[in-house]
Amino acid sequence: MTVPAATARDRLRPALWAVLAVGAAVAATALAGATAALPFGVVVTRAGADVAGVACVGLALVAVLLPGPTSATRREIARTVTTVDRSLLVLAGGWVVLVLLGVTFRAADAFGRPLAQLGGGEVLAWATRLAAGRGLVLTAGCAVVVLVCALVRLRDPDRIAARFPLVAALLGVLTPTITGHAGSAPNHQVAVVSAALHAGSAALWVGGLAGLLVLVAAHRPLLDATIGRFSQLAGVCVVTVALTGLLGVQVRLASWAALLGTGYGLLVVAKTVALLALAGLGALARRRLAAGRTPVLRWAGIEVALMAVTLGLAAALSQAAP
Amino acid sequence: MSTHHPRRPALRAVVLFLICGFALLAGTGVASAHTRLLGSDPADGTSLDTGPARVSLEFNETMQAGFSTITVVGPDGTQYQTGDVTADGGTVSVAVSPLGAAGAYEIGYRVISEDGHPVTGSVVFTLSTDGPAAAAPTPSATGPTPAAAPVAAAPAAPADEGGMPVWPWVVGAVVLIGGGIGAALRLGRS
Repeated sequence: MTVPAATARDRLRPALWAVLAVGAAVAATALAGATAALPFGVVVTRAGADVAGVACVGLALVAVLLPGPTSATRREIARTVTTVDRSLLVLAGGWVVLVLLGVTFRAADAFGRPLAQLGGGEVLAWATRLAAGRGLVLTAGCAVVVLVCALVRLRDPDRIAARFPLVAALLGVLTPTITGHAGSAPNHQVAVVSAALHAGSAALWVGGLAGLLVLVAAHRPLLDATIGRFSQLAGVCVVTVALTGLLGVQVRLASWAALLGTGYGLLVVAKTVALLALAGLGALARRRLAAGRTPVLRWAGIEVALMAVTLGLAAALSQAAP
Repeated sequence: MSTHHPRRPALRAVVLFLICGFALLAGTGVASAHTRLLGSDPADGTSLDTGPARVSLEFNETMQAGFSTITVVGPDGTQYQTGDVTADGGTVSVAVSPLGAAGAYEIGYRVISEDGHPVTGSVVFTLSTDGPAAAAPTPSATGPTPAAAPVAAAPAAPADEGGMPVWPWVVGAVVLIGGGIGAALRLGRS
């Protein structure tokens, strides 16, 4: 049994989250002192690509978490799998497009040229000869893999296991962090590994919760079968996100004073507050769930909204100089 | 699944706290992640009797010639850099034609760091006696780049023009992907 009543509002919810994430990124960039149009183009495409990537990770995770079909849930599971693959197709396509636009904007920014005068040679040079460019090209490649997986799975879900698009999406989310600021940091290995872990766990946590909420929450037996495993995974992810975030800040920030004195520092503070709030909400939700009380779902929506804002802040942070 | 570990969150919090503290204590020196200027020749603030044949800038990262621009701007706004920028390891340099009147010369740079962001800045040196090009009343007669009114120290765009604008290609790719997905969804439904 599905619940057709609240579907219109439910369908709007993911769009609202995406808008929140991009809005937060734009606001943070404005607060950090940007005025020209180009930095906003850069940050909007980056935040949008991150949202698409995280959504891909979450959807694929939902498909992986789904239990084996029983006679009672067979139809519902098949329906959910189809929805996952259709959404994956759209989101992976959006992801590719946003990364493409992002490369263009960032090349224009790097060469200090207006978009209309940006040449193909410059975009190519930026995308292939710099670590950051290569990272984004890899991301686009991963997104294409997700897209192809979704396409094949739409024809025949058994042809490709759900874990393949999950791994591809995760790799796509990781690569820009590896080749971004961290790649050129002096404390190279620590910075790279921690940034990769940070992005990966955040994507699994945020995307997974959002995916469960949108696709599975309305169907109680499926939710019961998936939420336990997800909750465990989320716990590990929260700890990883906190630890690696702290490590990253420690590597990059010059002093404790910079935490409050610079735009970058303020972004760090904002993200920390959001993370603490999220972890608190998550712990509360888990306790309620363990006690068998259900109004967890309403909070989970708020939690994802907060996560979306955090994601936007992260995107802005990734484009800001420390 | 297993919910028989009621104490695990608390334990986790303690471990987290300990590791965070350790990470803070064990941290090594702090450094910026971005490309930054280590030094230059001539160095910032130096005073020279004769103009240099080349100026070079040293960065903390490996530099690529195609991504770097250097300008040398004289007191009257004339640009004196000439030829292509060359890169060797972390050092980029450009040849300088004979300088003009005594005064402050600004070496402006715009490089692109490995993380794809532009890094700009400038270094100033002072020429204490008039250079060979000072006698010429109009700098355009001897100046290497008689560009129309070089504005202050704004570094020029990189020399290699990209050729045809790229945006029609980007728009085309976007339309192609969007159309393909739309078609796939429609076919998948039937």
